[in-house]
Amino acid sequence: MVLTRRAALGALTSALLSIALVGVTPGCLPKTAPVRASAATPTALCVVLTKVNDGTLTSAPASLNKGLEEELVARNLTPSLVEIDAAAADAFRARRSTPQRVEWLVSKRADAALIVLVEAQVEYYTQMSGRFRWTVDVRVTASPASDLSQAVQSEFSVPVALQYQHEREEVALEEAGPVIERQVASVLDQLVGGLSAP
Amino acid sequence: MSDSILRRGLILSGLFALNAALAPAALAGRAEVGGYFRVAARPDLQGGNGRLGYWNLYGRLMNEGSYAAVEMKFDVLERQPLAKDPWTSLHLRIEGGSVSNADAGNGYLNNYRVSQLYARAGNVLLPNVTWQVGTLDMFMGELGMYDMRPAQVFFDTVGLSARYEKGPVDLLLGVGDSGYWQRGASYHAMPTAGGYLRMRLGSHVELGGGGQYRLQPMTEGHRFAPHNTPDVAYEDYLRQEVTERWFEENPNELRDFPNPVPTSAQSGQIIGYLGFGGLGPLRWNNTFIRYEKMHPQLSTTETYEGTSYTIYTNDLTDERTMLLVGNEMQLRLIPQRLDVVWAALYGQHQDGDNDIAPSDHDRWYASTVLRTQIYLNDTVHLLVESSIAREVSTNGNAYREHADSIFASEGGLPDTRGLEYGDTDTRDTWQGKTGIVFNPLGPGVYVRPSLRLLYGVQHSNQNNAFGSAFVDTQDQFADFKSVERHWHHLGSLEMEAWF
Repeated sequence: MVLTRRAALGALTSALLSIALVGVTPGCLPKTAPVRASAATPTALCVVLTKVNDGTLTSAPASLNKGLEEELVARNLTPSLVEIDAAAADAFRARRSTPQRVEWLVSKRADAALIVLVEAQVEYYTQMSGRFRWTVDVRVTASPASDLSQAVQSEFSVPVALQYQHEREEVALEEAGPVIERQVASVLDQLVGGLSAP
Repeated sequence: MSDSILRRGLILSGLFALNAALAPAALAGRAEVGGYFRVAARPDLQGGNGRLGYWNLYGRLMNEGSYAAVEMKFDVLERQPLAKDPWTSLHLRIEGGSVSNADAGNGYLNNYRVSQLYARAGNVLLPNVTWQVGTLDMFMGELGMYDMRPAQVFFDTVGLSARYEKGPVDLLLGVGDSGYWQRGASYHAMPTAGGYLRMRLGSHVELGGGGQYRLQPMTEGHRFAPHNTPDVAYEDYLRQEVTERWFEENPNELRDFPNPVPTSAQSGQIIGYLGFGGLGPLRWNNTFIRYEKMHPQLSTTETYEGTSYTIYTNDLTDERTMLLVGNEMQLRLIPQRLDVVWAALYGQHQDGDNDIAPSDHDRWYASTVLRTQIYLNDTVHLLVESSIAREVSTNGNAYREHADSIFASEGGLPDTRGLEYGDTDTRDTWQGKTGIVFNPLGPGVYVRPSLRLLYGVQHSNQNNAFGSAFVDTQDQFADFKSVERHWHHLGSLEMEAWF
């Protein structure tokens, strides 16, 4: 059978449209509902960015904080953001281990029932196929303020390939945002689910 | 026991448990992998080999094939963000353009090479300086639409570099040897020096400039050092008739073909960069310029009456230059809904030695690409891209416009001794591409990974202007004939990711 050009193009167009429809569908799939606390729970949220290049400690970009706050709200947790101002940066510079930092957050936010600490360390990796490749190492710790033995943790690395050389740690962390939000959501589901289990 | 004592006790016991769970981060021995993958299925119903056009002048999308790069990093001494201790890491990159089932190379490892191997160290001797020993490739950015990096230095160099970064200043200086990349098995030392300075001027503007210089010294007695065979006419060199002509003119000196004369050779490039952005919908604009003097070629070989002769070609190839200017602008027209990237490229190649035959060293080209990406939702996007390009040969015809152009070589007429090729000196190309993009990580023209389902179309005044196994020579024409085809359609199912 000889396939004419018109028939071939028609078949190709049909195939493209069919696969496009299949491609759109996953974006519309329903997501799993988050695990919600039984009552609104005051939660201290702190995201600290450590720049490996110069040792600076600073807050995360607003977009990441906003995304994380939305994850907390979705779980009936009332977020209270702890900004990394000069005092907080000094405190974290002095307290380099996660337990010490969690303890400091507990002391700073006595009204918080839960503590969520996101420690992000961003380091330049290399130039890769036209991009500037960074590594964002993240440690997420979520714990009841009154009982740190129930803390849930997650550690992971997010590779980020930035388009521009002038973009630095903050942009890398922002680009890693979707992965970080997803991991924080998972940690919160574990913690909240465990706390509300009979 | 009061509540506060109980609470304190719980916190302390919790801290003990948390401390036990979170061991201190390792100070050495950490291994990491980064890389880049690109693979596509593009069955071409018109007989091409899976690319819409000849090269990425028409936009990299659908004009590039499979590619894979993996870079391993091992922290011998991990960098401590809150300490100024020395640190060092080892890097090894393997890359190549073949993937099993996706191209003619079928993924065999002979398509891959160790392209980078280097050690980096910091907090040694000087503050804010990163030392690099090994391969030194470095660029100031990329024209993403073209996959080109005009502001690049040391791509061909192994040696030592020092990079100073503090505040708005980024200074790179390096020295090394480019002989192996330029000459391969015909290695001869090629000392290289260069670098760049990049300055950030406020929060919206960046400026950079630099260059690289290579010198291949005269070395008597070294057969791979630069030499010239005396009294070679350029046309004879092009036609591979130097020896034939010499023996015609010197019939009684059969064993006295002229000895090569040693000389030196040099080459290099100057690069410039201007970046600005963060202004309204303009995310960033990159402008790059590169002016390069190519390194002369070593030699060519001719066979005459069963004997091979090496013709040394330094003076025949030492006037080749290239000017490349590119611009790329990224716009966020409607945040989270519509992004646009516009890019333009101009290139001019000149060969001062060659005034008689078309070649890649005697041409100019200009191109522009516009890509729009519409975000149907966070992960599913609609991509629409168009490009237009003109390529002009400045030494006569270089392209075949018609199915029977195979019979034309000089002024559009048959000439078996002609140096031109085809019946036109200009190639005009238009491409359009559209399709669905699935980005799991959300909106963004350059967000990866990307899974794409694309349709592309090209129109060119050149006949069959895409890689194929169509008729190429007159003897093939006799068997297979040729087809007039200026439109090219191609579907693509592809993936691209950095990790």
